[in-house]
Amino acid sequence: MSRQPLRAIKVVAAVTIVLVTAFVPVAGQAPAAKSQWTPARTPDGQPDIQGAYARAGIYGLAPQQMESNGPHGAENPLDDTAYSRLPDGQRKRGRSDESLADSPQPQGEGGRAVPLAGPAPPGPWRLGLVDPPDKVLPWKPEEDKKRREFLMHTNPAASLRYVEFDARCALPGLFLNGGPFQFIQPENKVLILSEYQHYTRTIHLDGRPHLGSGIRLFMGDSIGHWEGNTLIVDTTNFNEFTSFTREIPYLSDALHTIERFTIADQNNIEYEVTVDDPKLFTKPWKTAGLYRKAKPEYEITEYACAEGSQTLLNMFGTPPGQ
Amino acid sequence: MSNRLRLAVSGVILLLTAIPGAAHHSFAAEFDIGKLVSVHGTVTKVDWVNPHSWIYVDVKGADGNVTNWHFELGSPNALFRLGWKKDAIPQGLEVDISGYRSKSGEPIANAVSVTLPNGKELFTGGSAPTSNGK
Amino acid sequence: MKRSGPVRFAVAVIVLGSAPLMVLAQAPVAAKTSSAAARKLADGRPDLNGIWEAVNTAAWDIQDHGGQLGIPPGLGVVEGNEIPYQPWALAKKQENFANRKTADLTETNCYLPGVPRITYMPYPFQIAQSSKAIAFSYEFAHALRVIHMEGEHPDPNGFLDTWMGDSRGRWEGDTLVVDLRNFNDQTWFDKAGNFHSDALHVVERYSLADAAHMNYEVTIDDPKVFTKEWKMSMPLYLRMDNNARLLEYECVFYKQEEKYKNAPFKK
Repeated sequence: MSRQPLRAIKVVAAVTIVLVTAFVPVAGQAPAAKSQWTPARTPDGQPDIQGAYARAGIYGLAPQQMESNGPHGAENPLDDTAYSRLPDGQRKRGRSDESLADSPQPQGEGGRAVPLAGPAPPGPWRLGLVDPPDKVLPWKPEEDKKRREFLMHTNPAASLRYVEFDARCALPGLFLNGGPFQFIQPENKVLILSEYQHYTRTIHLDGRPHLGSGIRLFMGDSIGHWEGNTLIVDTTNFNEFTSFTREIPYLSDALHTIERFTIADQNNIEYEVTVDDPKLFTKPWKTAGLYRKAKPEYEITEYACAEGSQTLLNMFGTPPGQ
Repeated sequence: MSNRLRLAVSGVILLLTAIPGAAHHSFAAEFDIGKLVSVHGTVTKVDWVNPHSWIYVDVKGADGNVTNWHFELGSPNALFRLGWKKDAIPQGLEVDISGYRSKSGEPIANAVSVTLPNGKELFTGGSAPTSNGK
Repeated sequence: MKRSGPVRFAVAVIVLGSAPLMVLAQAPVAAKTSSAAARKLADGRPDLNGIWEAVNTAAWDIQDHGGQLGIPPGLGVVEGNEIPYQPWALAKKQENFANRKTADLTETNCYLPGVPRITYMPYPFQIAQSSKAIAFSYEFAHALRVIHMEGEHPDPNGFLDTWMGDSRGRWEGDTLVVDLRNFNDQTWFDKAGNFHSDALHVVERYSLADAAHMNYEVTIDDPKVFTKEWKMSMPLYLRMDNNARLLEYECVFYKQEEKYKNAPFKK
């Protein structure tokens, strides 16, 4: 655990500054943070964003935040819209499409019970699909056809492969979880700890390269760096078992994401993720959300999934001979 | 007690805070939206587990036979954070529960509302119930 | 080493390769070195950060055991090698042992192994330590424990019975002491059927022997099962590999692939 000398790094850095004079932005930069709030620093110089958060956006919001021409209703046998539209008293409270007129509410298990530390930043908020603006995702036509065909075999599930990954308690990837989360920042890392499914995303800030292509992960391999008050995270090495929404049941192992966490104020982090999956789409697209900090006394706790899940048993019964 | 869904005025109906479909499974894949059942019975057990808590209720049928129904609730994490206590649903408690039946045909359902005989709320949508359900 | 503040770089692929240079970084990861004196963090606490692993056979059996096909021999990690079971519990342990191929939920279903078993499962774990919280992240089943450095154990009447316990940490000098309660009764201490009740109370003590070795002691207290407290102890070793890191061991998923490969099943 001793530290490496920095002289070599400093020399390369100096050379780089001389050689490269312009900042090349990632395509489609997020809007600048609206506030002037200056965060404290961790001992290794990172802006300090530590704390518990819940997340609004990404997916699961009102239908107008999702794909505009995606499969719905009878086109997706898993669609729960009919249930969501039942009146109060005939369904559980806590819908995902409640009014966005007031502050965006965090979603996800426990999200609605997260006491927030402060108000949302001033609107308008970027929540759900933000690029392309018309929310027509740039599917390769053949792949869009395949996924719509895939969905028609999901209820009843034609085989294990047609069961939603989340329903079988697989790790949820970057998209399927509204929190709560806890961010901690040890030296040269940002850790995003999830209550749901008790997983750890470790974002390495030490300049290491990505893993070799032979390692495929549910949560991918994340490397990142800070630019001012924005943490930029580049993730590759996904396996083929991630999904984006109920309507987009799988992404491919070519998935590459670029996330931007931009500190808006002491209680909010604006979030945007570029989804680049060249096997399925003709170009990258983006979805956005908001991480909202919980009150300081809020703690994340344990949410084990497989241990209590009956879903596969309910769907398929017990295998013969067991 | 009929099998009709019993809608009650606010303050009596008990609403659960979980969001179906927010994670892990589609309601449509496992439960039948056309089969709302209502039962009156006695609590035999509560499993306070993720991803869903379960209430097990003994229900006497018209023929006198007792069926143990399994009602699926939401994640208990949010419920505990709202101040909910395990001992507010003790074994032996008489409850009215309604929910949507499992597609498997088993006596399993996805609970929508849980009513105590005294009209107390067990789960509320927003505010925390006090200890002992008072 | 001090940095002057964030500096903007271009994505200079030609010069630097595919990863942007980090202002905050040390050089790209190389093999770690072990110095006699462990480093302290800015808050004055010992630096426990890193990837750690136990190197013993406690996962199979925490007591002395000889070798068998598929089971490596090992000396026990239980101090005194005796586990003070109450008489009924000793019989239960033997029953567990007889049924271990199906009754061990971690082995059979890949369920969370509880504490301290997660520590000595043969998989690495990561300690990530900031002044505000310490996270123990385990490669096995992506288990996670957040060590809360404030607050009390929740009232069991208003909280889950957890697989991994509720962890509350404090420093005693240079030793991290972690107190755990709020367990369920579903986990075993090893594959040999050693078990506990939901009254389990665990106290762990982590202290650095040097920068690459930790002493790990754990006290087990369960008045429903044992006649008195007992202890396990073992060293933990820093993973010295280049780029040591956790990967994913998703055995729940793997087991589902096997168990349900012919689903749906004909009724």
